[in-house]
Amino acid sequence: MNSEPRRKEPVEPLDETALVVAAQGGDEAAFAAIVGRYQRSVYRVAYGLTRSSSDADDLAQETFVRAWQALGRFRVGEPLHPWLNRICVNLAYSLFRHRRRRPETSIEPLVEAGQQWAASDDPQAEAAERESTSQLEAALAELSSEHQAVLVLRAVEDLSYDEIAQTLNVPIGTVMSRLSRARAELKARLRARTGETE
Amino acid sequence: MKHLDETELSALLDGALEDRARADAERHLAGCATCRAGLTALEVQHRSLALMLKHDPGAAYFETFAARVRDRIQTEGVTMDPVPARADAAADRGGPARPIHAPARDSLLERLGRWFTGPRLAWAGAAVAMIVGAGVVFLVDNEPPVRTLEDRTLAARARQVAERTPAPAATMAAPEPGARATRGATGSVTPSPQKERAESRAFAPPPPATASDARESAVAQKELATALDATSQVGTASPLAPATPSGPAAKPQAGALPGRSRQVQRENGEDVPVQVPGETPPGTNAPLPANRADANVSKAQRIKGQARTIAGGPLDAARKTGDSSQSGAPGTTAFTSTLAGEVRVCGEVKDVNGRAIEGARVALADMGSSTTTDKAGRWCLVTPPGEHTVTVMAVGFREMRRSFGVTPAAGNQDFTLAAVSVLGQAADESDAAPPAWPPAARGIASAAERASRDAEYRNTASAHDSAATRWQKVTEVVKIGPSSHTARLRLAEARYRAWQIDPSPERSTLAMAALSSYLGVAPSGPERERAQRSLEQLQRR
Repeated sequence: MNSEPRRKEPVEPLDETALVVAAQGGDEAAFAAIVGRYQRSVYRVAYGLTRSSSDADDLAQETFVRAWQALGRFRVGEPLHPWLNRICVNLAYSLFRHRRRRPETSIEPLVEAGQQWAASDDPQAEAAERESTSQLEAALAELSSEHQAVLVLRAVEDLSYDEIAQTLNVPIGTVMSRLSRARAELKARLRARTGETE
Repeated sequence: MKHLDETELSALLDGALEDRARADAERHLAGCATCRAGLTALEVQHRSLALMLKHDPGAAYFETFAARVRDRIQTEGVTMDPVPARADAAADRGGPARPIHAPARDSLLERLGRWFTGPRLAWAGAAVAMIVGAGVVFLVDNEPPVRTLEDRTLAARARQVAERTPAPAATMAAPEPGARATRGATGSVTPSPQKERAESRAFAPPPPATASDARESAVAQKELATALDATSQVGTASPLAPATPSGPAAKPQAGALPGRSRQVQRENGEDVPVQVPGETPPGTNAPLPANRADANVSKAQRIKGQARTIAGGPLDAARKTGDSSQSGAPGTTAFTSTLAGEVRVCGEVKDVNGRAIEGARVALADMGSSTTTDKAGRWCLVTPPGEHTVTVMAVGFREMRRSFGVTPAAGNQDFTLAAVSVLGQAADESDAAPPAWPPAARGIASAAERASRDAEYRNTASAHDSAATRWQKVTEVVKIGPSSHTARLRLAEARYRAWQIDPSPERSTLAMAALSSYLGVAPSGPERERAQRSLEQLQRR
């Protein structure tokens, strides 16, 4: 429970710096290596924010396109991971604003392609689980974009408060309070949906 | 007793409390069932959230991801923004004064940069805006009307469709709702959201803007013809060879990318790329002409059993006569022969009034081959015998798909397309009505259809991967009923095509999973049998 947040894709800072410098010099192979290194992470964040595989695909690609565009302004030596995640989150905010609504709902995420059609040993339990997931997703979609983002970065990427602070460009104290409020609100929305009481 | 508040519980859950605060909180927890329950509830919620948001599109998706990003960067012409001068900050970090690619600015520029600050910058901006605005007005007023082959084709199609429906011809040619506005298209379309913008940038290559570009385009066409000659001399043309002989696709287009053999034609109100032999996908480095022919040959050899034509066929005739609109006519320029075991399939495409539809795209999606109909609406493709799916698309008409068994004795495959009204509804639902998607899935199904069409034109594994990703989303939304069967079938097709073009263990696994998923619900019929055979083929590999 109290284990230290783990970084899922450990990077070697020296290599990363060299890649950034090379990519800033126009080396497409270096940029492709950067993409390869962080594509899964960015996709996970994009999917967590949109809960839609096609939107996540668009968002993840757009993140790297924007990263390439802005790479010249990136400060060499700083970590890329929070910077890329910040681009992704900001693009998601723009997407939400553009649509004037929350991310699409009622998408049941799949752990693996094709798994959705696997036969279930216990259809009743599966139906209950599906309903529970659907309620949770609907409740999440009701939260503000900022609350969704902080929850996604913590739950999906397992980022530490410091890393989330870097990504969202806010103080650590703000991360702590925002995460707490987001969790409390999610719980309240979920209870309102399911009719549970304290 | 003072209970732990939400912030403390949340930070405790994440291991973010300072040592002393954590020790205090844990001491409290040991004696407080209420707070323990609160912490447990938070943890359950956190884990449920993590599980719900977990999604892996598969290794195949990520294998091609970087290439897709590179394609977008190249296609959209995205360049790195200029770097602001910050030599002092860089020096503080011990790093280079500025990135390698950024040339050092001369002192004049720096002085100009310093001069343009504050009110001066605002005035300069206003002046530039006025000049640019005046320039745009001047250009718009003086721009000659665009008269391209596509426009004429589109206008003819609009007239044909307009005769079926009461809507004015000018609006009939407008794209379906959701389609983006394109240069030269009639009617007006409101640009759709970011996704549409991205697709627009990806699909619509910029036309040659200068005489130099036009010359480059002409050179590219000549190179392409050379490559095709080399290909047909060895008797094994690109599987896509029948796509080029007839219709507007065979002529140099105003929309062709400079230096590339890429062409576009109007489809459903959109400029879509037309795959031609020797073409490389967007964003890849175009090989030299000599290599292009080799690439065609190796590609044709690699993809077994693909439909093909041979030297002396309509492609050859098209180049010799120089009249692509006539030479590809299956009725007038028949294939001189077919390779052993292959069958020539022909047919006609007409509207519901029995009038021929010229320039309709006819594709054997599972074979990766396509062609366009001639003036009489006729088409022919050469393909190995077996079950195949034909897709027919034409501007102003609804797409139609049909699976059938190809045998030497098979008769003509004729299609009657229903017109699409201004509102995107079928003017005539009597034939070829697509599956009725539930309201929640219409948008994503439409996007998936576009992705599949794009994949058929580009004929790359990554394009089919992308289409599969979109169909998968449709299957996630549509879980029951005939439309669910259709969505699963389309997903399986996309997965299978990606595997056919660029086999890998991941794609094989995904294709088998998708085919199994479809077969789990598929009604009996040729589609099911075809899926079963595809699955068996995958399992044998």
